[in-house]
Amino acid sequence: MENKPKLEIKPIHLYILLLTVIVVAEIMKIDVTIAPSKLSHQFYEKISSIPPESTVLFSVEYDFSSNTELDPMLEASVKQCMARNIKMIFVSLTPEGPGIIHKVVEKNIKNGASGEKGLIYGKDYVNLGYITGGIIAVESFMADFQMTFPKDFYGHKTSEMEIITLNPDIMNVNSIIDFSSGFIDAIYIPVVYKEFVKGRGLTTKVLAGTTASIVANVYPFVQSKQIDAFLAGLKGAADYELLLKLPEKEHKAVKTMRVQVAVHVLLIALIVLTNVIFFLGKRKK
Amino acid sequence: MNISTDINIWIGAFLTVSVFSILFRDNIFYKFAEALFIGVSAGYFFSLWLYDILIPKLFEPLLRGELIYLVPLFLGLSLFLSFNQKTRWISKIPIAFAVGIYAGVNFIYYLRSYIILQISSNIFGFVVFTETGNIDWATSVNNIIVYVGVVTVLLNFLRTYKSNFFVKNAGNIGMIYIMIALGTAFGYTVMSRMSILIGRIEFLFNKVFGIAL
Amino acid sequence: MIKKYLPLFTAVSLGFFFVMQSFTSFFDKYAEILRNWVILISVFALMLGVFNLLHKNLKRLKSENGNGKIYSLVIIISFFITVSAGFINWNRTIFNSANYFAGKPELVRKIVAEAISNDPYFSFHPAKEKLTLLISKDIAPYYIPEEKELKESGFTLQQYLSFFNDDSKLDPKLMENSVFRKDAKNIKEFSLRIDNFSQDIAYSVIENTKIRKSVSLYGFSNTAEIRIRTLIKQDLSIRKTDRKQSLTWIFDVFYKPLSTAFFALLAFSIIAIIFKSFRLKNSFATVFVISATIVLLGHISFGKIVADTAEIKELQFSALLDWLLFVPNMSAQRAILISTGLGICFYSLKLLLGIERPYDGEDDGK
Repeated sequence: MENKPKLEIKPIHLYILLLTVIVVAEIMKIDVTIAPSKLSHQFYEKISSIPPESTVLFSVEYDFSSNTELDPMLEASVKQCMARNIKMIFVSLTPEGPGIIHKVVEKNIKNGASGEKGLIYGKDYVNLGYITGGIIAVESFMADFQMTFPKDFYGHKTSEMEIITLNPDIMNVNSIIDFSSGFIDAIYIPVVYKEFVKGRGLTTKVLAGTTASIVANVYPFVQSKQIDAFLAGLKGAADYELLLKLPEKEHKAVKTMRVQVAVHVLLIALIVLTNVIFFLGKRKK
Repeated sequence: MNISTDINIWIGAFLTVSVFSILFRDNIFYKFAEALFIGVSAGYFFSLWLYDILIPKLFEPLLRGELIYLVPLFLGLSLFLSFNQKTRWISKIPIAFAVGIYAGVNFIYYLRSYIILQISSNIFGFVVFTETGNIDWATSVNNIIVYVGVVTVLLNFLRTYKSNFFVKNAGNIGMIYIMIALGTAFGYTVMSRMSILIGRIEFLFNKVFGIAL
Repeated sequence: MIKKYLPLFTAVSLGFFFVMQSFTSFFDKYAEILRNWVILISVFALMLGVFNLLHKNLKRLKSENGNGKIYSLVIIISFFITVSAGFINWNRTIFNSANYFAGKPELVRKIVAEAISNDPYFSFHPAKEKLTLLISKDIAPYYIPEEKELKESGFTLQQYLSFFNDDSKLDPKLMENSVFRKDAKNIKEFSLRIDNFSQDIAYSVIENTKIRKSVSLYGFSNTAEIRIRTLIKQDLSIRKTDRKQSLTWIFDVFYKPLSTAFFALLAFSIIAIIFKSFRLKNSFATVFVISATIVLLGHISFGKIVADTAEIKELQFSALLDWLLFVPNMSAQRAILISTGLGICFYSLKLLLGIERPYDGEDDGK
């Protein structure tokens, strides 16, 4: 090995390296293997087992710190619910939520995910909008949707909507699907959902999709069955898209996953490199 | 490749690049983007609080004549009295109101879901038998590892400088578990952060330059 | 005296009320009211934070020191523009094909009249106008059958639903050309068909695309389509200003790119951290680095996309990762959860017993 005086790597070099790898990977379209994990399978099957015409509560509580991971999950699960003719109530605990929901639902209606029947707002789905207050808000709307949301995101009265009059509270809701970036406490909100429904003697299932950064915290709850199924980060989203057998042009997470794998290779190379530098420096001393 | 002609997309691209320019050095574009972000997000949140929550949930019922809503209105407005030394004590009431309720609700939820259910679901056998009566080694070993982990990590948190030999060494084992947990958590955090960046760059490629990926 | 004990009394009594409330559903109604009040108070508290921000920046704007004044100005201006954008259409009606007809009973009635005007079945019907009214109620997105409305139209619900099954008075030849009679079994099905038809047209008008299904598949005539299309176009031209969704526009064009870009910066700091501190300095650091590396390795796999769990076993690292997550990670996380839970419970208990009083400032109340 050549002995240069000192090989100095500044952060800016790393930034440029990272950007280069991402750009190259975007263009090259690397082939990756994505084998859906057991947990993703569970998630998919839990939604598949929801009977048609029943109602599902979507709780969207992520911001733009994790939309790359959670948008595909939300989209895929909305697609699955639409195809299965399941009614959807959307609530959001982050200010970004209603906008995200609006886009995802509109896009899917546009693409005809609901089949030929079409969806009727207020009958088949409703975007209730944003509410502050964390767990207090959760308790509040689970006990009474109308009281917490007198008007939906678009300003219509919820008291006149069929979906709300048929489901005044959580009692008739079949499942709760929560997409969380853990902005309050790791995975507190889905757990509160489960606790609340258990406290009322219901068997409502709670499915969660989380950003990767809190995946490690979720496992105790999965083992203790406080969460019935969950999707872990971008990989989970990609799994789900594959399990749904979406056509290739609708793959969002799978596409991002191709780049992600390249970035991982870079990071591992960096970990090895930094340790080589470290041990060489140690030996010199 | 067909470059976008949509001005909205170009604003987005300009803002993204302005933010990323901090990586080279501090500059006016970044500072402008930062100030804009603060202003726009405060404005956006404020709009939602006002138009989506306060108006339908407070002012409209009040206008309909439901006078009970005067209570939350006064409680809420009294928060603004905290600026004045003399009236400050009034602003403590709404804070105490919220603190009391959150304490009551949190107490029960944490007790149930973080303590009772977590402990009770950790009660399983050390040695697990298969249906044929043989020892299921894999599950048994895993169960023992889980047990050791939970106990030693808890002991690690109890460690003080006066701890005895047993607690100290158990704590060290617990520390290894904690490091594994933190390591996996960090690994996943890396994934999560990288995917945001990839998403942003996909936006630049896909929307701005029209390169289908 | 009251200054000191009123907050304390409020916090303690409400806290105990909510602890008790979780064991019984007897007080649900009151709890629900209190919860909604807390939501409202939290909104005021959040707004207080925003006022603070504005206050600070206004102060900086007034100060002698010229440094950073321009940025304070940007903050204040962008804040007010965004809030006023929300004000312009706070009672917004977003144009989407699905909820477009919400709150427009007049338009819906006209469309229904158009849709059934060419239908021979309805042209001979004695109660044509009343039926139009009822069908348009049915088609409105928020349809709830109301006794009162039925009474006004002079039908009972039974009559209303079974009315169309009685074809005895009508000429069978006419019925062959009837859209309604062709394959709709009852009025509900028929009104759903009108609903889908008009929604499809509304969608194509709003989004400027072709309609998804051909008109003949819906069973209606081309003239009906053209007429409904004009009705919707007229309605849109009246409400043209609504179409500009100012707040949503700001959200999409400014807030979203800025927010994601700022979060994306974290990726760069992470790669710098990895390079600086992922070194095997001691045994704990080694465990940390190795487990993080396993997570990264567990997601690497090249080759074709596989959508089958049977092939999971081939990916060695993902199996190792699964074990790592489910066994050592799970146990450590569980212990961490139990201890955070204990910490929070003790703190809550202190709050409930009035030992800890965060609402008491340091100045008075002592």
